[in-house]
Amino acid sequence: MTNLEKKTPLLEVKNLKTYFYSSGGLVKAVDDVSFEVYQGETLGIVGESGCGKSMTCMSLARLVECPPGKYEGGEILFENQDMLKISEEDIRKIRGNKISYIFQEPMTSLNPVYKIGKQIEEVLILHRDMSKDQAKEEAIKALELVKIPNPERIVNEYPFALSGGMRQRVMIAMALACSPKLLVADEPTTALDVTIQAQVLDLMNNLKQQVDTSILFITHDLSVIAEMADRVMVMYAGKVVELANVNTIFETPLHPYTIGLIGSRPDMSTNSDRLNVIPGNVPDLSDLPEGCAFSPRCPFASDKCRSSMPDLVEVAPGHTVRCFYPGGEKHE
Amino acid sequence: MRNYTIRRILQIIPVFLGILFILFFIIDKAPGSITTNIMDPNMTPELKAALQEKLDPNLPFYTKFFNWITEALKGNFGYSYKHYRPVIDVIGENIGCTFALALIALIFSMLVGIPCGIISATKQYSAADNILTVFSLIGLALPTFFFGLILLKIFAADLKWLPTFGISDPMKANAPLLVKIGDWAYHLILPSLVLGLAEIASFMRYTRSSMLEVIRSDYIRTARAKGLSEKIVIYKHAFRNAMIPIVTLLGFRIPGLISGAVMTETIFSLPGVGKLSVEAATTRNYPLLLGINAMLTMATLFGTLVADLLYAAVDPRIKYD
Repeated sequence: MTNLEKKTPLLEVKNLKTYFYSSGGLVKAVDDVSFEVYQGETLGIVGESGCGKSMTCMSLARLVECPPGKYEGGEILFENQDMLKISEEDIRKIRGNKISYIFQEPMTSLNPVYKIGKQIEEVLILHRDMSKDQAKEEAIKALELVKIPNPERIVNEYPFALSGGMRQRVMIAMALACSPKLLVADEPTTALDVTIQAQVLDLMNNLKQQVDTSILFITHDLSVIAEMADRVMVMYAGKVVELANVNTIFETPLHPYTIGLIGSRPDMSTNSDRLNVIPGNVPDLSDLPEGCAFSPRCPFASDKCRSSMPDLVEVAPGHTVRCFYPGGEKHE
Repeated sequence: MRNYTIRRILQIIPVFLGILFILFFIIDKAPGSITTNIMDPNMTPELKAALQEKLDPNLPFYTKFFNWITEALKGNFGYSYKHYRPVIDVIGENIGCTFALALIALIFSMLVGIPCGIISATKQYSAADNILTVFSLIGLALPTFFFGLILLKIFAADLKWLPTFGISDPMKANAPLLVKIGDWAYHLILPSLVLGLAEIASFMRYTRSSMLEVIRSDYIRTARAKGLSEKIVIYKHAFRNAMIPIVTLLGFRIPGLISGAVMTETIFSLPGVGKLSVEAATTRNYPLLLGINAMLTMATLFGTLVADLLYAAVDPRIKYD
């Protein structure tokens, strides 16, 4: 991962802004977000619910429903194309083909009235111009790849016959059927039992090598991030607050929010009765505080934080932070 | 599935008998009798009593019901004294018109209502949705007789494009079959439009709400993320799911359509069972009234049976065995 910086990125997001115009006012769900994903890496995105991580990912293949959503600016460069500028037809050729998605809810993400096989075949017929028979064979292979027992039988089953873990495997098989360049996994294991979760994560890690795909992995579970990601991007209230190598994030987090997140994990070694929490709540995105959005909850906040938003600054090679006082240095 | 079908058909029998019992009870307890209508006021009391004894003998209720039902099961629903013919023949002559009317209205309302509902849902809160919503509410609120009479005035009386009454042109009684069918269809345009109007509105509203629920679901997001075109996402992935509650609705529309036909047939003077049952009720022709209601009960039960079987066909999650 050390020579990642020298490569050209597979995906480059520059100053992406995805806003929502709702009756409650303007919601800046994704506000000036920039990041890159390199070939073969896993970029993790962490943050609390409603911090804009899902919307960032949905924006990549223009899956945000417009209206109420609207792409207000920025660029999403993927294979020399700006995803925000290309036609609807061109973006459909990329969805499910070069950029695939796995979603959070395996129980409801498959269409209940179509057979598993048909749902996988559909992508292959669409993007790979296969005949029905070829697609069926490929679908069985895809199910084999995700270690589903009896794939020949499962292709003829309806989703209701499968458990959550199995359905998520089907989703993965479907997402990987066309060997995508980028796999976007939006909390793929959140709805699963811990043991199933471990199996699915393991499977994804193995497949990543086999299929040679990059992964954008969204989660709010830090232990999952530690296992999956090469680099980690922390988001808060629609903005990137810290971006660094996974080890750096866990060893020397610099943004007070990242520090809080890592500190709030249950720790077996200290044996304390209470968990550390970040005080307060995630702010309402339609009514953000002035200055740094984290300032009301930040133990280090000063008047400066409460009046102006800090810029994202590179404090070390490959480590950027949006904070006036990285690492929580005390101020006068 | 086969076992379920057989079981479901067997279930119909006690329900059918139960409904017949209730029907017989209500009609038996209704005031008056067939004799009051056909008796000559100048008859002597002895003659009246004899006629009463012959046509509607004073037997215990259960005996009467048992006699009627054993005959009915053999296909004999009694005698219509108004028509001087067996009830079953009178109904047989009129039921075709009603079924044709109801079927055309049903197909017509589905063909219009369902696509309108889809448009309304996919373009929620757009001008098209608002216009369709207003029209569907008007359609639901407008009484059949009022709408029917307006259409009659415009298209039949003023513009003379369509006939004002009846099912066929007596001049074409000896024409070849195809011409006759064309003539029937021509006569049924206005009545089925009137009967279908409220149905269009209800199909549209049901489709709209069912689609709205479906297009927000996770698997539609998955379908979009696969790169499928919006047309396939909506008309294949979403519609197949939105259809499930509508299929159930279909079975329950059949009795509604037939009772709606009563009004429509009266307005357009169509020789259907709707008009016939109104006549039967007003002339206290109780054997005919019973026969018609028994027939409609059968149609309703058949409708719900079809709906249940279709339900299993469209939703693989429903396993009947």
